[in-house]
Amino acid sequence: MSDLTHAAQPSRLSLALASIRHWLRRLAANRSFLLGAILFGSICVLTLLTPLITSVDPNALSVRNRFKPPSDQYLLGTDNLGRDMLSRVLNGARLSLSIGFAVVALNAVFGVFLGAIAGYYRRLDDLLMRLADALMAFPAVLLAIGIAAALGPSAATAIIALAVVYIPRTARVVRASIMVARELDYVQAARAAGARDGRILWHHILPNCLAPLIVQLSFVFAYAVLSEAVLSFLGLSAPPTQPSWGVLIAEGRTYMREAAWLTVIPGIAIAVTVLGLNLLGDGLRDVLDPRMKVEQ
Amino acid sequence: MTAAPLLSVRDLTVSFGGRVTAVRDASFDVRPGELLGVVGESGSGKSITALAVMGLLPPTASVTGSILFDGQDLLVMPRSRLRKLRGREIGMIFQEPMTSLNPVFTIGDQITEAILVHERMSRKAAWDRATELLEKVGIPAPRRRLQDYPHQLSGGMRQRVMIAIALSSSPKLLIADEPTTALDVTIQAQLLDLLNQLREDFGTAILLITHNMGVMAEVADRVVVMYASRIVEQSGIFDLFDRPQHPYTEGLLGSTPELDVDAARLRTIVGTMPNPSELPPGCLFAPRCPKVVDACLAAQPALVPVAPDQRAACILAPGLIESTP
Amino acid sequence: MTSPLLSVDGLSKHFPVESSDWLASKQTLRAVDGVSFTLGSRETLGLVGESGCGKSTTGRLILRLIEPTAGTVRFDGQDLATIPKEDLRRLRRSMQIIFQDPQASLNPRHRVEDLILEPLYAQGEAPSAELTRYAGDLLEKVGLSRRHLSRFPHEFSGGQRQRIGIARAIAPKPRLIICDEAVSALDVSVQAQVINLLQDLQDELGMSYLFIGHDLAVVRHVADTMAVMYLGRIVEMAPKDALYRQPMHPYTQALLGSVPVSHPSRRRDRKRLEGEIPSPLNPPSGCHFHPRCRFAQSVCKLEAPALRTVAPGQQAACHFAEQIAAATP
Repeated sequence: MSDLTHAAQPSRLSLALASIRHWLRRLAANRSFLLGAILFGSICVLTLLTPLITSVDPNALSVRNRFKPPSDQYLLGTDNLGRDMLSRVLNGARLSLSIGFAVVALNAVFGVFLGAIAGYYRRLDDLLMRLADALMAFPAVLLAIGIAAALGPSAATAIIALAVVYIPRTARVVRASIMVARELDYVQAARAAGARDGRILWHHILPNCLAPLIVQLSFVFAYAVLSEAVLSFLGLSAPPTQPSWGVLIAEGRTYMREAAWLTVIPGIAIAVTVLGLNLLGDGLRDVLDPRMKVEQ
Repeated sequence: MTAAPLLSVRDLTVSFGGRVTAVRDASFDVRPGELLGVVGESGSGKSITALAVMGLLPPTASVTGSILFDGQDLLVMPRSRLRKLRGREIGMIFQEPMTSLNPVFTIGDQITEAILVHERMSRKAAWDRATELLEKVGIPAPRRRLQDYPHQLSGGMRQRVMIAIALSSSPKLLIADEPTTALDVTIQAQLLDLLNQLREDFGTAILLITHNMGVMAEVADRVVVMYASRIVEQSGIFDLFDRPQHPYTEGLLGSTPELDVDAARLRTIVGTMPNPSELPPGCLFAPRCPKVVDACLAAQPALVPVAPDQRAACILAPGLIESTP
Repeated sequence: MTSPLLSVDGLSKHFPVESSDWLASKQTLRAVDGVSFTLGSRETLGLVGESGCGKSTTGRLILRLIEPTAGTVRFDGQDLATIPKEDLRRLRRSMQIIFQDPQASLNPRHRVEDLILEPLYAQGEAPSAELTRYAGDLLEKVGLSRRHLSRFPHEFSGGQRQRIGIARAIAPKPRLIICDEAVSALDVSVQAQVINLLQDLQDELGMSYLFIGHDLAVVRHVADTMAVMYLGRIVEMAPKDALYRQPMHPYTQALLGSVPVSHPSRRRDRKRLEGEIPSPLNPPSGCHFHPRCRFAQSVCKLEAPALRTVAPGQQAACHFAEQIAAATP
């Protein structure tokens, strides 16, 4: 008899899939998320499809074709050295976005880890938070500049600098939700059952802290892209041979009057990416709001 | 000889958004000076009934029926008159005194504000009156207490302050919505004594909403029992305990553990109260009723007199069966 | 003479209270102050008291969810403070807890099956078809259906969630369950069902209960022995009948006198306990109860009475327990 009812029990996989489908539906219904996903998604898609869109070397000089405004031949024009802007912007996107992803990944790992220990272990909390306070006292960009200047310019430098700047903020967000969750009855029940700390954090507490974390990470991505642009503008990120949006803006700056497109187009690219990420983050926050979760 | 009722509710029906009916056809009276208890579990509609009488329902609620206070229908009264009536003739106290009292004003400010809303007098006179009221509700060192803020008082004290505010205009009716639920048992006892005392001293009628049968046994004169939005029984307090007419009342009484009775197991009512949006056909209690017969599923029984001063909505009420030859 | 299942001796928990004014003297909240009792197999000890008495904290101290400031807790003869951490962790299999709030006690993101089996997973057991079957058995034992295994907590009512919490508590076949106001948040009819369930489970599975509550009638119904707490201390401990028929401590007498009557005919002009419950931050000196006690003498203010035997099987913490008992009709 119990075998029959056992067969009627849905498998874990089908339950998981149903859950995913449910969340996707909820996300798709949120306008902010949708718009953000379209904007950011488009940028991502364009970046991925770069080899298909253009095969022009972003560094190929063509002095004869300098300062060509956007046209049929050069979709986004050319710069002061005749380099194809379309190719430079798209390749620049690759750099900016991959740096963004790297920073987010580091945040996800270290920010969560540090925030979790700070939130769960009271004795470590004080120490970690004072360290975080010290780091956060510096304006983000200045701190990044300082670190990057010390380590020498490169893409890796930019990633490390930005990670250091944003990890304390992410850790704080994680710490806050862990401190709340730590006191809840069901966590006490797990402790009473003899669960190890690791299990409690990973299995019980963190899943309930995902919402603010995901939202925070989407914003970190946006700030990372923006800050990387600043860093590369100042020459502290990847070398100029690797075009990045900040470099493009830096280079085009001198020619603002004659060839405005050299700065405006990379600027728009940054703006669209950051706007898309912010809208995405807002939408995620609305959908993942625990108050709405009850209707699941 | 019974005096004309002070409060007369007839066929009160409250629904939200046209879908959920929280209270259905409720009819009961509160006589001058008596304490009528409304008892029920969560979801029974008892709090909504109290809010309807107080006129504190949200705008999304649609209310039909009549609520006659001293002969005037509160449901059709213009808002300005209703406001004057509330607070002067009808006083209210709620369950959570911390949220009913404004944390940024002193007790004295809040009591005098309540006094001055309904009576014209000098601030000093109002302050004196406030001191008097605090004394009446049993707060020691009342003059000093007026300077305190709500957070400086305990739960029991705050509830007494609420009663003082409600009594400031010598109302004829006091509506108390679960006033002792959040209090410790010794403090609850003090407060129930206070309510009884005030009834004796001022002749105030009290409409007391609670889920606790013990509280009813302590202070109520008559009781109305609510289940899933309907009134299922109305009896005097002794009749309720000695001759309950509705199986739900019997079930509630059997489920309550008693200090002086040694029961091996509690008599329970199977199942749970239905969702207001998924009510069964016929008698709402039928799915859980130990006495259910086919006729119960056919139609919702009306609340009818089944014994002297007892009404019940049950076709198998003992009073009905006894009186039928 | 076998050692009792649970033996608590001089258990205390003092919380230092932080004040933003660093010049102010440090205050201590004595939530639990020297509590001692024993609990045997298949027994139920009822712990009652009003706000601030420390009953919930006592429960958590026993399970070591909070570290005590002083005192010992011996479970099955083993001192929980001195045994190796790994042993304590494994011992937790035998001690479980049921909470008051049906909403907060279940992780909203986990399915019922995982919720119930958590105590086993926490001890290192791996999910298996057999465990799933076991979870289904547990659900049926607490009066729910096997079909509910894949559902989430929010799909259930308060009473049902409490049953799920009970299923979780009995899953590792514990010897002791702390019921921390386990039925206080339930409606009367649901409460009765859950009380009967707890008693049935005890008959069937043989565990002991430490039943913490504020409703005397409920606790007396469930317990074998009752302990009354006031401001962190046990003031009286006796078998439930003795406690009811002849309460030896003035607070117990007042408490019994304050419980609402069970029938209107029993209404009487009772001498009510005056005054407010003092704050545990600033308890009265000596016997904590002396400001509100009708029988207080000068010694009561100076010396805290120890919990001592005042009648066969009954203990009370009062200097004058016997005299008061003799004088009261």
